[in-house]
Amino acid sequence: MTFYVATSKADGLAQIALSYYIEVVRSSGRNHFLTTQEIPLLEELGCVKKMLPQQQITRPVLEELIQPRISLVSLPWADPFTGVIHPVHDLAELCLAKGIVLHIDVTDVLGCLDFRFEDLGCDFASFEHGVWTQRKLRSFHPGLFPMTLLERAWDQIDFMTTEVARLREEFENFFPEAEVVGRNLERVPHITAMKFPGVHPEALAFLLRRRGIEIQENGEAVSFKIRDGGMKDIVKNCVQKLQAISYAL
Amino acid sequence: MHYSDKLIAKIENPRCAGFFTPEETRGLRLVIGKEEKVVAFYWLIDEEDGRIADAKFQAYGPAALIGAAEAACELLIHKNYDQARRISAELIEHQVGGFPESMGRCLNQVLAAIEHAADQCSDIPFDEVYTETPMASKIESTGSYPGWSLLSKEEKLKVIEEVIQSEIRPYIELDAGGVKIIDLKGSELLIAYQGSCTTCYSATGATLSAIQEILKAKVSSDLVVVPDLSQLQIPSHQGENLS
Repeated sequence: MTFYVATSKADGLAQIALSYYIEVVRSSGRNHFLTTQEIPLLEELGCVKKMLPQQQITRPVLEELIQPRISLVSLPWADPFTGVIHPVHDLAELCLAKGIVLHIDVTDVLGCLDFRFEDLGCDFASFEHGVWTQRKLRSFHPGLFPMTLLERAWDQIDFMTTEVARLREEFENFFPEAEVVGRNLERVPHITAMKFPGVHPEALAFLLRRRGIEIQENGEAVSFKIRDGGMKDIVKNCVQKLQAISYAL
Repeated sequence: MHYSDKLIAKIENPRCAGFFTPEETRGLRLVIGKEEKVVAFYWLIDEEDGRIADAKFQAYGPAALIGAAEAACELLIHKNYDQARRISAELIEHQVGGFPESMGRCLNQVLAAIEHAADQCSDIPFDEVYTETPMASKIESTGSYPGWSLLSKEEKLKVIEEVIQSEIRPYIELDAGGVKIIDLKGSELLIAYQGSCTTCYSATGATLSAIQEILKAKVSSDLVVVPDLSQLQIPSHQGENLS
């Protein structure tokens, strides 16, 4: 399997944006794109961004959002905040049928899902420092060079993922009163987004960051990346501290 | 986003967090002032003089809201509800050593809850002549202003004005008072009181002393503060008037 190395995720995204602009927008004039993330280069080039909602993007959801001027859909395979996996094969079918370029960021599913890039059905796939494409690459930066991944590396990732899945379950069960976002949907094993009763996400994020635990929050929930089993006591302590002074309980 | 050490300390260890049980009121009136479902203040008010004997809060919001509510409680305790109304965003900001600009809405929510609580106390009489300085008793000395003796008179007045503006006025304004600089003659600073300060006993006592201590600590240890007595209308202990 061959990939192209980018200096960063943003660089990889910029390469995809440029390729899409030159190969699709300039010839078709369709310059609207649906995305979950900022793609500054496209906006600088006059393309119009429409944000995808933060929920599982299923085929009917995407179908509803696609308008005639949309020519690119860019989304992660797994939502980096909730870990919820989008059914990208279904989305790829839809995009193919409508002549829309599909870009999938696979960063959070690498090592979690068994897949072949060729079978994804998308035009571009990217991950940290890497880009895969089945397009002609004629617009890619000449500085990009190919790399390969070893089978043994995949095996190691697979083992670690199984252990992380167990730790996440243990973590979520440690907070029976918390609501796990997308609990009943298919999720990658190392991410969980939770809502704690009476706890404001920003306040919890503040306390945890001061204790060396980096988490994301979106005003409604907090998102953890599970790396080991050591943080649950610290999280519980901070949650209880905030619940003790909460006006929302 | 930058949080000052003082603000972080208040968020991490809020001493005034919580509420009062009916047993804890002990003859005092329990007043609850709230702003939406974000912040609530619980005051124990002495119905004799309208003073807030104790204050607690509950909050559901960003960390900065917790810090702001804690700082507000510290300012509220032992003030009367009329003084509580005069607590400003600047005063809370000063109390926590600076507040993140993007969190300004937290200050507004705290002030709205205080206003709501104060509105419920309007039937309680309060003493309009304040006898205690509201300024902090602990003054952290930063040493003399660098190169103080070399500054021109205008430069010195500017430095003093800045210290008065940030360290003194916010507290005096809490009592509906004011202070302005009249002149600087050598190391003697002549000031004039305004508003409630002109009728306050402490204008020539504790308040004057606090102003002097702050200016000595932050500007120059040689400064002597002299109030313009012609503006004062304080009844003497014998019932005479100073003016």
